[in-house]
Amino acid sequence: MFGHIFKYRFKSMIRCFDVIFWTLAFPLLLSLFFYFGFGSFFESKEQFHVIPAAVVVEKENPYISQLFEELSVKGEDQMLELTFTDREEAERLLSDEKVEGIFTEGDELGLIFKKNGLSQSILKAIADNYAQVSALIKERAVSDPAEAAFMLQSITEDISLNKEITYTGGNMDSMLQYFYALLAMTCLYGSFSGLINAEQLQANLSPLAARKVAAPAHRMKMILGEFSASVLLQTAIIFIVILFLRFVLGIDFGNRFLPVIPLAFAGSILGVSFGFFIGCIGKASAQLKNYLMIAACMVLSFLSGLMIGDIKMWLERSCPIINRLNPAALIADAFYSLNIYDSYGRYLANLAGILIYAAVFCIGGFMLARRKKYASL
Amino acid sequence: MQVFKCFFKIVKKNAVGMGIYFGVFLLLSIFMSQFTADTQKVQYEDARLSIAVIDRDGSEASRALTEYMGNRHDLVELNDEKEEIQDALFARLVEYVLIIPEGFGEGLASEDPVQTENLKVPGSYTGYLVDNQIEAYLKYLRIYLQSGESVPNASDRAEEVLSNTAKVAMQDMTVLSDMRSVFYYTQYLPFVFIAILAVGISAPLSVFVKKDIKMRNDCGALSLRGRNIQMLSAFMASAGIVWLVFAVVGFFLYNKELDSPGIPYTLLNSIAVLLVSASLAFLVGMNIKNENAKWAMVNVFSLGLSFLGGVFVPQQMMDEKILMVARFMPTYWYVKNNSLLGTAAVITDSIKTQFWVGILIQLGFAAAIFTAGLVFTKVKEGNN
Repeated sequence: MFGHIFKYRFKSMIRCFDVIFWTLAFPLLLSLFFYFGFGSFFESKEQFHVIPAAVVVEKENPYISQLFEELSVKGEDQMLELTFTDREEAERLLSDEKVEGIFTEGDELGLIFKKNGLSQSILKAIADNYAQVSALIKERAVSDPAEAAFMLQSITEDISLNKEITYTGGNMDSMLQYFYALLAMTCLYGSFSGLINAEQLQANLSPLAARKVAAPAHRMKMILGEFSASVLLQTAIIFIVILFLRFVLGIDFGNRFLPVIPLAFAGSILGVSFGFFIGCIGKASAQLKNYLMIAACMVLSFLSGLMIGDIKMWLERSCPIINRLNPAALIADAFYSLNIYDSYGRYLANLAGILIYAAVFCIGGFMLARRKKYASL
Repeated sequence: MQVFKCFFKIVKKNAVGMGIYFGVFLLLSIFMSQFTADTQKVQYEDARLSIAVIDRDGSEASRALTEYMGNRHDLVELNDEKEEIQDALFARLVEYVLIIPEGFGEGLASEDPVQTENLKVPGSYTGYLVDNQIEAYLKYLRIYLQSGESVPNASDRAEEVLSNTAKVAMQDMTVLSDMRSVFYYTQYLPFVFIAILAVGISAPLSVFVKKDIKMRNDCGALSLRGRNIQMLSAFMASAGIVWLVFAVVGFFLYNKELDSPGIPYTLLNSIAVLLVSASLAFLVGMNIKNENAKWAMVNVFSLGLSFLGGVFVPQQMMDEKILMVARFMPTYWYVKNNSLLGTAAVITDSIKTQFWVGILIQLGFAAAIFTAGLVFTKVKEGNN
């Protein structure tokens, strides 16, 4: 009987538009939108690329020319891509945003910008360095030439006073948090099938449920069979989404795939049991329960960073309890910790939280669903 | 006005669905207004980043370095815990973390100085910029310490040297460095207009085109022309009420910014996108009968057009190839207008020209979508 219920529930779920669209097609579409929107942000806007700048030579200055030569030489250390031209052309290039700024070479090194930004600040830092060294040397050259020579030697000394370290070998693209929240939303959207299971078990909500309730099948076998089929389908869907993100869109989640399996499974149970629990509460209509569930999923997904990526960090600093209690945040954080941290402590803590929620919803839903009797159908 | 009243009765039944999107929108726009930069200057300013300094040394030199970095950037308090630091860096709560190890101050002037450590997004613009600033300050501080100065004097002299900066001129004095807050509110309007109108006011259209109801109405006393006029009036009145609600909410939330030069233009821009959204609602309502399919289409349209048009993600952050495709979306032109108006210190003739081009393109899209809706309906009727 269990096998029979499982099989036919699985078959009916994969033909159900609500389930297939919301739990599979919609996350795939949304991931495409995310990818189009900011998939290349990290690579194209955050990662350093050679900065294009125009140079207008008002008066030849050998020191400035040497500086430009060093900074624009092709290779790994290239910082600038320079276009030497006249003032009018340079202004046009700046106006059309083909260059980030204009250097004016003369006795001093000046700059013209169209807007503020990181590229502009870096160009200014280059010009500032020149201004500082030349001011220092000029001042000392007059009063104490020996000290000027010492200072020049110290300034050009090849010694680094600041070194880079790293706490992670994971992918530092901050846009990944949207994809983590998307995976959390996909897990929560398993509640659609959970809700359908609940609707089709309560005789007051659908004619199919009335017929099923009148059948001699054991109630708990029915519940467990349908629940298991929904969880299996939902887990498969989550894997399809993860594989789509990883291999079609090329989103790098890190290289540990094995721990994703129990996480996806736990997320599916959480989602399906959540929908089942909502569906079993009270005597409200199916439509109202549907709205409640959609609203709950949207709010929880919003708070896990689906729409505004910063919100999870903001909550962590102002009200961390919300992140601890939000099941979507737990799922998103578990995916994040697999990417960033070598140890499994945080991942396991999140997984435990997800399983506790799943257990609460399962037990709650089963307790509400069992032994419901109807005076009249 | 039976049809007119019936239209509104059906819209009311979808109030919960509309309410969900309204709630999400309000949360989004109120939240985003907390994060908008306060810089609305037209002169040059060095980039000011959020960084953290973890001082494990506690020496005069480390305090001087911390103070110097605090003057150039916004310092964020972080505990000296690996996870907290890593999470803050990943989420870009901080762009750079400087760790000053023990022994830094003592060894700075020596032959073998203790290096400071930094964590940053590898290979990033922000990392390069802050590295450069720290190296410059430490280099000058070390020079003056080596020549026998005390730490406070050396720090003062280093800062004196660093105060020599290049002269910067701005080409365009009419563009602000960031959008005013109210324009972040209007930025999200396409998403909520498309969703609310497609969920709410497309519903009556779906009801009136149902075969049985249409046939009964055709037998009734009210002419087809009369029915259509009432439906169209109710349709436009509903859209107008939605617009008015958001305009009033915007006025209340951002009453301090109502004197911004772009406000009258932004009202026109919002009406243009309202018409686009109404035409999409018409397309959905007249052609999609299944309630589940309608919800699906609403989300696909609202989220898809919003992401691709640059509503959620600034257009400057999007790839060039994506932007080429985005130009075929009406939301792209709305957001472009919104950004133009939001960063304009003065509404120049050039801005006006670009604005009206954006408006005309949006109206063109609205007309095209509306026509497509009519054509699909006619084709379906012909097939039936």
